[in-house]
Amino acid sequence: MIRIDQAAYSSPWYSFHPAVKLGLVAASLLLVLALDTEIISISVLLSMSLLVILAARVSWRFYLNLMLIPLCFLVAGCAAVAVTNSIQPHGLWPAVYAGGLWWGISDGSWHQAQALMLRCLACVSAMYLLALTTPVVQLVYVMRMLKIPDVITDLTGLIYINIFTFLQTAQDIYIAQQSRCGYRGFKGQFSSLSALVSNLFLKNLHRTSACYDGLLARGFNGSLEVLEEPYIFKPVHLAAVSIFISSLLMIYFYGGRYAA
Amino acid sequence: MQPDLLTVRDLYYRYQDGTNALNGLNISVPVNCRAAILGANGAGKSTLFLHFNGLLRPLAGSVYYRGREVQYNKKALMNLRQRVGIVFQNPDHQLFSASVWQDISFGLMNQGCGKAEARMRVEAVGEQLGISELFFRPTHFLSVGQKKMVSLAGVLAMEPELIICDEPTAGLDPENAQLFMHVLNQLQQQGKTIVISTHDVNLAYQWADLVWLLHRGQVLAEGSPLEVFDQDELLKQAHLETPWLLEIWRVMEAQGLVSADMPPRSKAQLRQALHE
Repeated sequence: MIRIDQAAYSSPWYSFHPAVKLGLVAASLLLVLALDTEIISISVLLSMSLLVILAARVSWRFYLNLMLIPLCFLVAGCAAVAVTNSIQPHGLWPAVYAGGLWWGISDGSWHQAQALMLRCLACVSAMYLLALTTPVVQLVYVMRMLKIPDVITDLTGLIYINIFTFLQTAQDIYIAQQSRCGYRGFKGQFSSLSALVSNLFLKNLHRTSACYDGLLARGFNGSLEVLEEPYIFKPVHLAAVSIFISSLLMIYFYGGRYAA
Repeated sequence: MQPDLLTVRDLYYRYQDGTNALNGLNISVPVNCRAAILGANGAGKSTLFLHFNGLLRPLAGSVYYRGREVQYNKKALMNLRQRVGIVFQNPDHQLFSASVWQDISFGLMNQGCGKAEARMRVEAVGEQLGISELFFRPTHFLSVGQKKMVSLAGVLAMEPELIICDEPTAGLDPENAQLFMHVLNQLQQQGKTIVISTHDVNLAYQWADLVWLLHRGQVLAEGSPLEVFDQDELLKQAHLETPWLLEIWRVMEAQGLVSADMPPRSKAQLRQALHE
């Protein structure tokens, strides 16, 4: 997670207007889900991956690693979809007889699994493009633009920054415990871990009240009002997104015909 | 006569667990001074600071700002907090936003500053403190020194008259500590009043014009560093020690090696005295 965050901050797309970035990703997701054809899924998967690697300059190795994470779940999930049953073995491979039915992969179920896999990968790649180019602060900015209530946007921002101190505190406690021989033996594992969790809670409570003082000292009055960073809105970006979406639609309307 | 900037009179404060943090404390901070509140851990320094801009309300006694007693209604407090800025010891407790730019602007927006004005002031503060290149970096990947500077920027942007720094050099390496103190000096020269808290006797001796020695929520001694650090008994009582410059000077004086009437306040002054 920290590496994704770092990538987003060092991304060449960092200063692009977050609404345009979110728009590109949201439109792609919508098309993949609504049109539900393999050719669109493949187009989005390919173009998003190319954008991540070539335009947003994420190393392909790192990107591949990121894609592997959901892939594990997807393979398991799609395998379940691919396997089907029938009362007769015809059209099934490998036809296995169990519990009064024939089990195997049929043409139809194979295609269904394949389409599902592509759709999911396309969506994941689009989400990665967003995550790897747009820090949470910018997403919160778009949330504010969309008039999402302050409570939600403020909490999103606070939780996000807290994750980092939370992880750091947990790590510090863990190291301190280990250096005094914590986590030894079966019982030790549990007692050390429970001590860590309860301590983490207390520490965070203390930290939160200190943070609150910090906010009050600067005149906090109920909502976290800040000056947004100056984002660059370039019409050319919007044009590029429109062209991209139109070409996806063209692929759907014309390309689909050739495929069929 | 111009009244002192901030005065606390007979201040008492007790925490919920029964600890008496402040026991009839009196302090008066003159305009445009460089002051240090000196005390060991638990002497009441941080508690006192929280009274300076109304984050804590005293059990007894009162706080005066420019001769007028501090009121604890919302409007008066907002006003006070705009004039008295606190830079907390731990920058992680102060930086709430992941964006440096947003964090610096926070106080300004609370003041009801317009966007264009806020933007100008954030940029000016960034320039002044030399942190403009950090604006669009995430706060959680900054070094401690950088975080500390950003915390100061967030306070400075509100253009306070009095800047309070709780343990300004804690956790900083010598270079960053020096840089931070240098920035505080510059601010004082520009007319701000600076109060720091510290248990570092050497820092207080070399940097401050005015020192209060705190012990168990009371002022044991106050005055110029030379006056305060001359009182060995009181220093001992406060669990502190004599600054090394003064200690060396006394030894040299006793041996008749030096004969200047004023002890040196810095390494450079000591070197100069040795040359003479």
